[in-house]
Order: sequence, then C-alpha cells, then structure tokens
Amino acid sequence: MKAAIRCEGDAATHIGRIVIARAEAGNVFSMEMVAAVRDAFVAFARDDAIKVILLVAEGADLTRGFDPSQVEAIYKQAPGGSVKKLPSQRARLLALDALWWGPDGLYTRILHCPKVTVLAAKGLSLEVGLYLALCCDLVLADETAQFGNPRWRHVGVDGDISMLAAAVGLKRAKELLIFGQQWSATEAQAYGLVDEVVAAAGLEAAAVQRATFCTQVMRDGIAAEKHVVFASLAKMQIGTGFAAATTVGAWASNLHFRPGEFNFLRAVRNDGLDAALAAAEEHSAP
Amino acid sequence: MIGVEQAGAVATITLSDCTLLARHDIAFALQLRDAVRDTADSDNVKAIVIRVAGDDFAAPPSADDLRAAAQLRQRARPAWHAAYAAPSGLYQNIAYCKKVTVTAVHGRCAGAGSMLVLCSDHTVCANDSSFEAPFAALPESSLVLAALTLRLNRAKSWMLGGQAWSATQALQAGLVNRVVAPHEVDGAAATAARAAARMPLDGVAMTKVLLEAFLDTQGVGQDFDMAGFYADSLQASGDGVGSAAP
Repeated sequence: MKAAIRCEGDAATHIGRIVIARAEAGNVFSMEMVAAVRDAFVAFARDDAIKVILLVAEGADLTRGFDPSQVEAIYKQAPGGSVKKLPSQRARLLALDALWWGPDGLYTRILHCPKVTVLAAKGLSLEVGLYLALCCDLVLADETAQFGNPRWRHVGVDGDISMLAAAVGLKRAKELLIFGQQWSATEAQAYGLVDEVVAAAGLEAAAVQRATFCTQVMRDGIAAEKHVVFASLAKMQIGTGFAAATTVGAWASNLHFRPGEFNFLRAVRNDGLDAALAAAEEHSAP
Repeated sequence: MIGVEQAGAVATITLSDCTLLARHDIAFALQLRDAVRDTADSDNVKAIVIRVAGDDFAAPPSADDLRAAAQLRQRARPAWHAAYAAPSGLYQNIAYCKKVTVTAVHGRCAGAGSMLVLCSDHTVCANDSSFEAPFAALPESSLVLAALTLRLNRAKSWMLGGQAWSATQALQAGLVNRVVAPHEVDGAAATAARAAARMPLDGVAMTKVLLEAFLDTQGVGQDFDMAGFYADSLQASGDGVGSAAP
C-alpha cells in the first residue's frame, strides 16, 4: 500500500523532504499520518546532515484537515478511552496532548524543531494545514491556497490561538476563530500568515529554492537562531496557549448542543459521514 | 440613551451618544456596561452588535470635555476607575465579554469610540469612517490591547502619528475587519453577528474562555489596572488633557 507520508532526506542538499501523499482523500490527516509527520520531523531534527525540512503535499490540496471519520476514534483509542460508552475526560485530554499540543505532539515538535522548517501550501490548507502554516518558519503558498478552520464553526475554537494572534493580530485572528472566514493566499500574505505567494506551477520549485538558500547558513547558526526563537516563544506564552488548547479542546469534545444547533458527530451517526459533511457545509453557508 | 433589541441569537445595543463616555459620564458608562453584561448573560444571545445613532460613532471630545473629564478623574478617582477600567468596568466587560461582540462604525470614531472598537471582536465600518487613537486623552485606554490587535509598530504609529486613520488604513492595520458603504454598515454587522451565532452556545462560551486566557497571558487586564497611574501621568503633563500616553 502506498504510504500516506513519505520522507526523503538528502545529505548532499541538506534538505529533508516530507511529502503528504494522500491526495485522493484531499490529504486529510489520519492519526497515523500525524504520528508519521511528527516522527519525520524528530528524525530530521536529529540528523546532523539535514539543515532544512521541507513539508510539501501531492495533489491539489495541502490538507483538508483531520480525517472526520477518526474524530471519535482519537479519544476511544487513548488510555481510558473505551472503558465506558463515552470516552473519559482523561482520554480526551491525553489524546489531544499526544496528537497536537503536548511535548510529543505534532505542533510542539514542529514549532520547537531546531532545523529551518519550510511549508509549501496549496489548495485547501485547513485545520491541520492552518496550524502547519503557523508552526513552520517559512510559508510559501501558491495562488490556490485557502486557509481556515471550518470545524470551529461547529464546535467553537478548540486549539491554540496565541500563534494565530501573534502572526496576524488579534482582531484579524478572530475572523478565522469566530466568524468562519477563510483567507485566500493573497489575504494570508497581507495579514502575515504567508511569506510569499507564487504561481501554482512554480510552488515546489520556489519552496526548494527557498530551502536551498537556507541551507547556506552554517549548522551552528541555524541552531542558534532557532533557540532564540524558542526563547521568544516562551516569552510570548505560546506554551500556555498550547496547554489551554488541550484543556479547552477536551471540554469542546463534550459539547452540549441545544435545539437547532448543528451537531456534526450526531449527523455522522445518524446519516453517515458524507451526509454529515454536506450538512456541515449547508449549516455554515451565509 | 441606550436601547437593546434582539433578533434571534443576535442582540443590538444602540447608543444615542458615544461622546458621553469620553466626558466621563459615569452613570452612562455604567448603564452601557450593564447593558452589555446583562445581554451577554442571556442564554438566548450569542452575539452582540454595538452601534451608535447619529452622524458619528464617536466624535472627538472637545477640549472642554476633556478638561471636565480630567477634573472628574481627580475628584472621583475610584468611581472613574470602577466604571471604565476595573475588571467590572465597561471596557473589560466588552473585551472579556462571554459572547461575541461586533461594533458597527460610521463617521468619526475617536476617544471612547476607539476603545469600544479595540475591545470588540469584530468591526464593520463605513468607507467614510475615520479612527483617532484614544491614548493621549483617555488614560483608561489599553495600548497592550492595541498592540495585540494592530501589532506594536502600528499601535505606536497610531498613537504617536497624530492623524486619524481612514477606513482603508484601519482595515490594512487590522483595527477593522470590513469596510462597506455607509448604508450597508448595520446590515453587514448583523450578518457578521449571525455568522458567529451559528456556533453552538457552548462553543461560543469556550471560544471566549480561550480568548480570555489569551488576553490575560498577554497582560491586557494588567494594563487596565494601570489606568490610575496613566491618569496621574496625564495630570502631571499639564492640564490633564495633554499628550501623555499610556
């Protein structure tokens, strides 16, 4: 079976390349893919031959987000998650910590990677894609890229907000957090989420060019600069934001829906995944 | 002077005259605070639009208004602080509101009007709007909130530049989210509020809890706590209406 995540380290170019390769499904992230990308970042971080890690995707989209068919499974598979019919609160906390926000979570590992991290974003760059853009050092996007997190329309914000606010400003951040907007590549660049917008045909070449340029910096220089970044992240209370994301995210998995409010998981149970996704779109339409 | 209407999950608070806030009309500030707090307490409300009737959202206060405000701060410091800057005061009730807040701005926006814009979650303004920095005249203003909203360099530029920003400049800086024709402001603000209100009520509550934690880690509450010191600094600068800024 074709791997959904591929890793290609090249000691000659000093570039470690991570490819999201589930294009037939819009590159939605399964739990296994989250772990694979995290492990790839960890492995490249430990490889002294690698100076720059480049994250790219096959197909039209960077990612449509986390796999909606696994939304409940992440809690049930966590320790204490299948003791009763509904996953325990500890399982919800442990799952979010392990997948995303904790010391070994994907976003923490990318944000605290001692190598230069470069993202090539395109098409739908939603949910996980938005956070990949926030965690990587440099973000190139092609003109098709769209950034946002549609899930927040249905459950409220259940992730870190400190990085987004730091990147684009508080009020701009709330456009995505509260008002269900999505930004084009041009808007994302104007607001500070994206560093450079290129033509669709030239995205990967531009990303490789940018990565290659960064490899000219000596290893000690890269490590020193990244540790200055880590100190800034601490001063900016990003760690606090991640801890709050775990806590509030676990609460958010326990939402009470009132009559007339859209409940995605109930729609999945009652009508199936495809119908639930269509209903979610309809609910969010202006 | 303050009216509250509700349509679905969206409430609209209409002020007759926002300049009363810059004049430090404490009774009016408390009335608006109560309107925001009580509306946000309703389980049937998810989003609140704040708008002003009349030609301007908040015309710049006159020198006489500011002088009177400075005298009131001297005379009734605890009451002024409690009404405007304290955790139970007007601005923190909006900045930390448990429901989504949208400001609908037309015409000039200065002084307390600019603080309402900074404290709200989302702002729709008319293309003829202008935005004056509130810091020089109102010690209860929060530069920390402005820096989080605009980024520090732009906040300083707004504070020290001495010029009101046009609607376009405010949009580029991130002070406002959408610029429309004057006759479209109320409709666009209501549309934004309805979009936010599609979230489940629990989701709104948790989103606002996260935002509250973020504001606290960034020192917004502490900055409001400093309002008394900023008032002293302003007073020491001359007649209490000078250019001292927080």
